[in-house]
Amino acid sequence: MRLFRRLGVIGGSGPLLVTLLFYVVPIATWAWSLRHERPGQPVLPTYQSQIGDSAQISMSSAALAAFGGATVACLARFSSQRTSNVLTFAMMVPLLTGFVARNYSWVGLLTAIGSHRTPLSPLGELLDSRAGIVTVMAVVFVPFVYFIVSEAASHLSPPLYEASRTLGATDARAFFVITLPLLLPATLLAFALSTILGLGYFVTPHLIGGGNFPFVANGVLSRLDLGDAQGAALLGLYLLATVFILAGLVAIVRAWWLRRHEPLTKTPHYVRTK
Amino acid sequence: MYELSSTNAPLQLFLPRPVRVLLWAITVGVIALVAIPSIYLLLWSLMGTEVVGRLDLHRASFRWFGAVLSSPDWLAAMSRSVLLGAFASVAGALLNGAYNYSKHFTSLGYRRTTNLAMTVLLLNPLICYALSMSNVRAVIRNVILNLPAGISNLAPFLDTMRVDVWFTLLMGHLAIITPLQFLLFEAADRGMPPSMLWAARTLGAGHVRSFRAVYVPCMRGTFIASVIVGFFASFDEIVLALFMLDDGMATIPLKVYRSISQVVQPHAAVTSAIVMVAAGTTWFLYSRTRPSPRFDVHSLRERLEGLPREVLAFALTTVTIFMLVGGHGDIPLVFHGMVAVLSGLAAGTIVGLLRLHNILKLLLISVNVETVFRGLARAFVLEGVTHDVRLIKAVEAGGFTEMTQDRMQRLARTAFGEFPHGRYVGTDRHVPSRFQELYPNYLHDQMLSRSKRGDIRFVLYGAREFEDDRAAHPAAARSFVSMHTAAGVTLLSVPWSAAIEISKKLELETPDLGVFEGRAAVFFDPPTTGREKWRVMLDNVEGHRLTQLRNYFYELVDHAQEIVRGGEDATFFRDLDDDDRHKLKSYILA
Repeated sequence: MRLFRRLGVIGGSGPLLVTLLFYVVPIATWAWSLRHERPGQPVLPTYQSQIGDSAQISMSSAALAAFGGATVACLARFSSQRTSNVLTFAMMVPLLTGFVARNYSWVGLLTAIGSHRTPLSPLGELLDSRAGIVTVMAVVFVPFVYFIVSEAASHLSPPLYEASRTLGATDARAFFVITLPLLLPATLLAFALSTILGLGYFVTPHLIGGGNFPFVANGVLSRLDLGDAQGAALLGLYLLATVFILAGLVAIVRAWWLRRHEPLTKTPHYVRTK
Repeated sequence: MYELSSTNAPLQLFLPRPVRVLLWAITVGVIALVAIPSIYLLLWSLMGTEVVGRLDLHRASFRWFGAVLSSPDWLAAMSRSVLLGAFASVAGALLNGAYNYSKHFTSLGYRRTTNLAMTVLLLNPLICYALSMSNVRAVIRNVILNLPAGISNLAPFLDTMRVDVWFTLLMGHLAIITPLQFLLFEAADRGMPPSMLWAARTLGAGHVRSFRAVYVPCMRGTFIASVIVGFFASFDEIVLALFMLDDGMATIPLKVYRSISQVVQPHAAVTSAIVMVAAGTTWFLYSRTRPSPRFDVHSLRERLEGLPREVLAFALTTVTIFMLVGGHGDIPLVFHGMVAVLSGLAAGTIVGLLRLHNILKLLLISVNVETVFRGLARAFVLEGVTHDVRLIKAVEAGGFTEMTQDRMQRLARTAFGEFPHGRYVGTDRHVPSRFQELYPNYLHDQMLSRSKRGDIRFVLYGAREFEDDRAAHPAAARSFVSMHTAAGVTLLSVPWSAAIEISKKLELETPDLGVFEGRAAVFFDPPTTGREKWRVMLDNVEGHRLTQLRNYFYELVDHAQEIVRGGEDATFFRDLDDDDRHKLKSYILA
């Protein structure tokens, strides 16, 4: 029985143990092992030159995805159940396709478009361009944003709009005064998370950008290809630190936002209770 | 099905038309961008040429599928990916399931810590993780090469099998898919009251028994869903593979990634298409076979009842394609088989997709999503009585729908399964022999699988018709009465003419109907012979419909006699007194 109990404790701690043993320990030992590393070439300049592009492209694509995903989520909420299901289906199709495959498909598609003289052929120039990376990464992030904003949109309820009508607001005004502000926090959260995720990307910049716009992760791979394992590891460490600092900032801002916008149902501080 | 009435329908009224037009315009563009790559991949795999991106629109064929499926490299990569995905997804599902159970008995701090850990794993840049796991692999390899003296002869074998690589990959995949599965369980858990677990513990069950007997059955769908999600997430993983595996041991994503710069043939498109079809088919088959937890009383055969049409299409197509392709000599037999099976799967899926609403419901119902995967969770967890598209359509259309007797019986079972505990009040126009001809499995399906005590059945014929039928079919009449009375069902007889008149007066669609738990009504318009189609309609019992049905039953009671079973074969028709009628009326749809 005691054995079962112990096994139960271990089983019940599964995700935590996985994080600890399979993530924290490897990352910590790896980071610790880098303390005396001397890279073949200075790492900081590489980081500084690549983090700018990484952040810029990630933010652009996250912004596009936030706009597109939030729009679809908003429309889905304001549509019939059937339409909503169809839109959700469309958002799930890419998830069934696979990440590398989608990038690969974009390569073929843009090549095909660019190789024929059609009105669409200028789109072929997206390949090996910054705009191409932004577009494809945005498309990758759209489902992610959609599902996050959908959660927020599910809290939009008819009484809010009925009340606004009763108070004399037009539907257009209600949309701008009620819908958009309520969807904004989730959209911003999705934008922030997409940006953070994008920082670690390297497949899309490599395949779509043709190596012209290396992200930090591409820099890591390049250094490994050149045999500078120490440099690659240090660059990776910088990337890790950047991601977690940004994630921490997002968490702090979110906590501040939530504190500032406490639900009205909470007892106000000036109400004294016995 | 009764929850399908659109919950967000009223919101449609509050979106101004110009804004709606604008949102639609943007949405169409977004969906085009999102869906086009997947569609293009399928086209590329069928019409691809040796030039990247160029399609031969006049020559769609499976030749590239043949090239991939007859390539040992690609097949080996496929098997590696499948094995890795299977191990990692099953292990992840078990770990997450165990945690999700145990969290109901742990502190808030512990849960918050786990949530934080999962967030860290989600946001973690995989390339850094892959770098760190390279160190882990080196350590494991070092351990293998320096095994203690007693087992040191295992070292060459372990080294040849690349145990260090696969073990590290497994660890890494587990760390990558665990947060995804964690979110699935978190989302699903919201639909499961922890009081069930606490009740089990209060009643003396240990954690192991409570987990096995209460938690796992309740969360079975989530376990399966998490295995599927974990499998495809693991299958699609490339970063770790890029750092750990060389060309000779590549997985599918790695091979696709490397093949883009190495080969010009559309092999990668083909493998992607195979994965896409496999993913879609898995979801589909799962959605068709998995019953709601409320259908547990049914056998496996019954659970698979929804499949025959797809299976038939699969079998026919597989055999046909195999015979056609098999006629052309120099392609390996294994390829014939694979192409045939693949075509069969596609055909089965397409046939199944004709019930589009069903698959949409299961794949896509997920709107209330906290994360990407909460949607998937809902699709599996909240699957209600959605097994039959025609039923759903009938509810939505608000009219009758035609179906075969077999399907009608499945629907009736579904409805009884959906409302297993409450009262059923129904009418039926058929004399016992006819009733048993039309409902051959009635006894098994509806009487044995649930408690019928408290049910009321109005038979819409009089004593004379009953006697005539009993004279012709004594066994049928005997079993009809005995199975109802033994189960505690109140049998009431009302002349058909009276029922017709009352139903017309109340503008009911048909006098033949059943009401489940006072919440849902099924209207039957049965055929005159067993071979014709049935017409069935569903409606919620609320508002006007409730008043209508209540009045209908009240008037039926006014015209009713109770059928009472005597000794042996004797059956009596007893007149009701005022007190009986009052009790019945206060009982029906009260």
